[in-house]
Amino acid sequence: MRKLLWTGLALPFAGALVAMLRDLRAASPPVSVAIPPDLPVGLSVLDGVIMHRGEHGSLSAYSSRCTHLGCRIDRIIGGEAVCPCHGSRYRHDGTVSSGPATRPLTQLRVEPDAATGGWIARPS
Amino acid sequence: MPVRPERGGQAPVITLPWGTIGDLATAAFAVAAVSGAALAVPYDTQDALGSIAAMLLANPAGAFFRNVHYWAGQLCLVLTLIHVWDHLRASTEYRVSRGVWLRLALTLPLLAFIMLSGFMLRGDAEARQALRILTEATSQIPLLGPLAATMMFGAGGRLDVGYVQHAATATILVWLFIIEHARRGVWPRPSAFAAVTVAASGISLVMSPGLHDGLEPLVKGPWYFLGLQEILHWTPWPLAVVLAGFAIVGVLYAVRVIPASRAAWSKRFLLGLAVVYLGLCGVAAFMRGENWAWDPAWPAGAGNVRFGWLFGPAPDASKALPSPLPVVLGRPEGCLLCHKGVTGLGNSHRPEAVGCASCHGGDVFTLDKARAHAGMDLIPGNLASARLGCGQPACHASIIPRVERSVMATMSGIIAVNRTVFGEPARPAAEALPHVEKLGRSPADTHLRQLCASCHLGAKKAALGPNDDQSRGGGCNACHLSYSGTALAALTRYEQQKARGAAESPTVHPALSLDIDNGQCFGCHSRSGRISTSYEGWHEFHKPPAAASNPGRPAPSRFRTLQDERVFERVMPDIHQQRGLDCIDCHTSVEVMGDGVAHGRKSDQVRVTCEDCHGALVPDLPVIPAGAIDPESRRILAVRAWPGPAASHFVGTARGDTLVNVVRDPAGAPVLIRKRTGERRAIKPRIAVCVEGRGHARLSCGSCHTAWAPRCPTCHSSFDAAAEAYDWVDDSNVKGAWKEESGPFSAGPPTLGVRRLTSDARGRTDVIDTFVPGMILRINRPPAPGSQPVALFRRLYARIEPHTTRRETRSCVSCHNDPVALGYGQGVLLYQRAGAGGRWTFSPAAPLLAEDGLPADAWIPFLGARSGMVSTRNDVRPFDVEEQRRILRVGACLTCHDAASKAMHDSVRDFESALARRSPRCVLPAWE
Repeated sequence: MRKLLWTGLALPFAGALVAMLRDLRAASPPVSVAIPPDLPVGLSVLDGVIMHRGEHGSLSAYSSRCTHLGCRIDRIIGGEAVCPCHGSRYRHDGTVSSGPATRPLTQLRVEPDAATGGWIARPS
Repeated sequence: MPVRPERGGQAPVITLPWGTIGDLATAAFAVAAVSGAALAVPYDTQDALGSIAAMLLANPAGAFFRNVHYWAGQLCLVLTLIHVWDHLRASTEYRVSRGVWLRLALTLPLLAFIMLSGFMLRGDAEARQALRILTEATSQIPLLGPLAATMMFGAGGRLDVGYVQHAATATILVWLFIIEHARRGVWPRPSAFAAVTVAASGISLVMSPGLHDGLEPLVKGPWYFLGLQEILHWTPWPLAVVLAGFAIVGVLYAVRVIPASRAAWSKRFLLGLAVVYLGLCGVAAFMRGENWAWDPAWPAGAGNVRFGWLFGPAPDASKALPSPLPVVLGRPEGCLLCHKGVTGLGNSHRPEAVGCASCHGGDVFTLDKARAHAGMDLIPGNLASARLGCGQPACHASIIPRVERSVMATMSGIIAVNRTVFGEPARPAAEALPHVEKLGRSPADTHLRQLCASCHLGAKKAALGPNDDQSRGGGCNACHLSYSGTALAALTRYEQQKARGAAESPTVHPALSLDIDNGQCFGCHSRSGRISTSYEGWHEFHKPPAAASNPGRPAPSRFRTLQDERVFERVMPDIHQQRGLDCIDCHTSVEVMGDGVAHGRKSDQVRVTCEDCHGALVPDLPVIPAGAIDPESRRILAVRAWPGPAASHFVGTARGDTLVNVVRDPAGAPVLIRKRTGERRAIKPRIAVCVEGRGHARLSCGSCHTAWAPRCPTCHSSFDAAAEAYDWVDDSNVKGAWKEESGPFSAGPPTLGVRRLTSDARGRTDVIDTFVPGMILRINRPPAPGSQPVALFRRLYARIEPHTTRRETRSCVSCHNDPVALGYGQGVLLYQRAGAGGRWTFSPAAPLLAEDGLPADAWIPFLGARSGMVSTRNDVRPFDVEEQRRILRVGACLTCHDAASKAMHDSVRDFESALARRSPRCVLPAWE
């Protein structure tokens, strides 16, 4: 009986806690990043976004969040994005070159920015 | 160690003079809690890094509480683990109920959370990565993981949730669990409390936990987390590791509930696991470097422990610290508190934007001079360390690998040629392109090590001051570091003060800019092909006359003496130099810094040609719209910011590179903008005679427009095994010296020869180009063990771009009637008419060499050919016999016809037709 009472008291609070945490996570909006027009050819990393500019002007952008454990990738070495935490490496198209990560980087949507002549990368 | 027997027959636990291990662990926990409460006052979760940095810089008492909090926490963790081992060894788990044991088992992950969350509350680069890792790992727990991660660590990278859970929730829970199981009550034994307080305080006064400055590329977690990181490095399934952690807690709980015999095995298993984990922590600490690569080294890095007396000399009361503290890269920078008001760096590198440590390193979180300067790089930008300064991810990361592969860094062409001349393989089988830093010990490589291997970008700039005649290398500094008059005066003042024992650091810094004058190139390029000196119109004396070497000679003088005492004579400068053009006005950033490809020789890396500017008329010059230029050019234009309207189109080279300083004026004519000044110069297009007619179709621009080239026809290199020499690669003296003696060198129109083309806008397969006697030499090569010395003789000409271009061209006879142009060497070339046919004869001026019977300065025999190695390159050659005859056939005409006559002009357009119309009085060479 006492257990039933405690459970009955705890459940609503637990439910409210879960709902609050869910809403909190949903309220954290994804951030868009401005890409400058003078982005160099090849791979670059800027403000949490990994960008690849092709020699003929193509542009793709990926989240710099390593798919292994979420570290922020902040360096390009030998034409690959390298995670400083555990050494995962990604190619210019976001696919994994060497682990421990197994999943490719999350691709972002790239839109031209008429105001700056550059682009804006947004979550897809 | 004295022990106290326990009731019930269990083994005794360890007791120290100050109490049991549990007493000490509890005391450490209490000290950490109390010091944490004090630390809460200066700490700001909204600006964690900034508030901690401010403590380190301007609040030593606050830093003391931080240190005590840190060391008490470390002691608590270590003592708790020993306490757990001690009691498992003593089998005291049966003294508490299962419920209490369960909560004790959960105390360990709670303690781990407290330690890790404390690490994350630093807010520095390592802490932020740790927060991401732990959030992600927790989120991967099925069902409740994401919510648990938010509950424990918050969302969006904020620290306030983690702070509350660290300071309150987890701390209170652990405290309750301690009270619940401790036999003594709430408070630790006073002696234990005193011992921990003294130990933590003592350590805190001399050892401070570091803080990552955001610049150091090495990012690691705290020492107790490293083992987990090592495991995570090897597994692509982090959830398995998380679940394994839960399982270990489960095993610990099971020790209380399973039979004693199995519990003993479980305890051994846990002990073994702990030992293995500690071993992994050691492996990760000592063997893992950047990006978790295998790199055995003593643990270092910005976030590591700092040694030094915490309460250093107080800042001068007359120099109150500013409020707020100067912030760079999101955190206070102590450098700017002492080095105030530094100017001269230029807008891109001003200290307010990039600070000092981003280039120079050092510790930004202290005002103690010795600690601040520890590990600092006085002269950053050298190639060996460029990646840590100029080449950081946020700066010029993409440029450093290009420069490292540039021929100016590798010397690959020079090395390959030198080895070929010495009769050694240009490139050993397993080697990529030759590199100056990988020179071996063969005769050829030793020769280069001693005589040539200082002229590469990897050579270190080790002294303050501007680049001068004697400067070699220096990485990025070789081009981009320049001293204004003010900066030089400030440096001179500083050095004078330092000599007197008390110096204030200068407040005017040399500039880092694109303002690259020819002096930056001069040090290296006044050697070898002498293009720097030739460009300015100076030719080097072999043996200067007395008047030339006299330092008291009146100025201006037609003589010039360099710092290395070489003496030069004034001859004809390049027309571009006279018009004010610097080296960089032609040579682009892609050429000089490289295109990222490791080329085997200079000519593969040089991309600009005369025709790119002086091509055909405007409509034929390729242009690139401003909106389509490459990103690097765009950035250069933004930095240059030349006056005048922005260009809508830029001229492009034949290879597709943008010439940022070659535009079209409103009338459409090409204009060159001097990069350093923004002045504009009209560009003269190529005229019709350059391309019309079959006769001269194969001529390069330089074959007509090169005024002179330095000619160095004789050289003797010998090896003296007993002498000493300096090895530029190893920076040391070595036994065994190469010595070179050269013969007289002269300045004159270059020799002509043929160079094969791989591509050409006009569809040509080869061109006639300019050459000089690069290597007519003897080498006395040291013998291999057990064999005789080897005497090598080489007769090689090298293609050269002398950089002595003139608008006026060389005369017709200077090619068609000149033995030097044809490759015979200096002498008398005569055409004698004898009846119906004429005869060419040649009398050399230079003595004939015994090795091959040719004149000392010749490339080929008169109306003859050579086989074998004739040049340092295999895509060039001298004129063959047929080509010599064709040239001399025209020369025969020129012995009668004036070069400016209609007949000769017609012959340029179509020689065969002109020949067909010739007068019966014309006497052609007898071979016709």
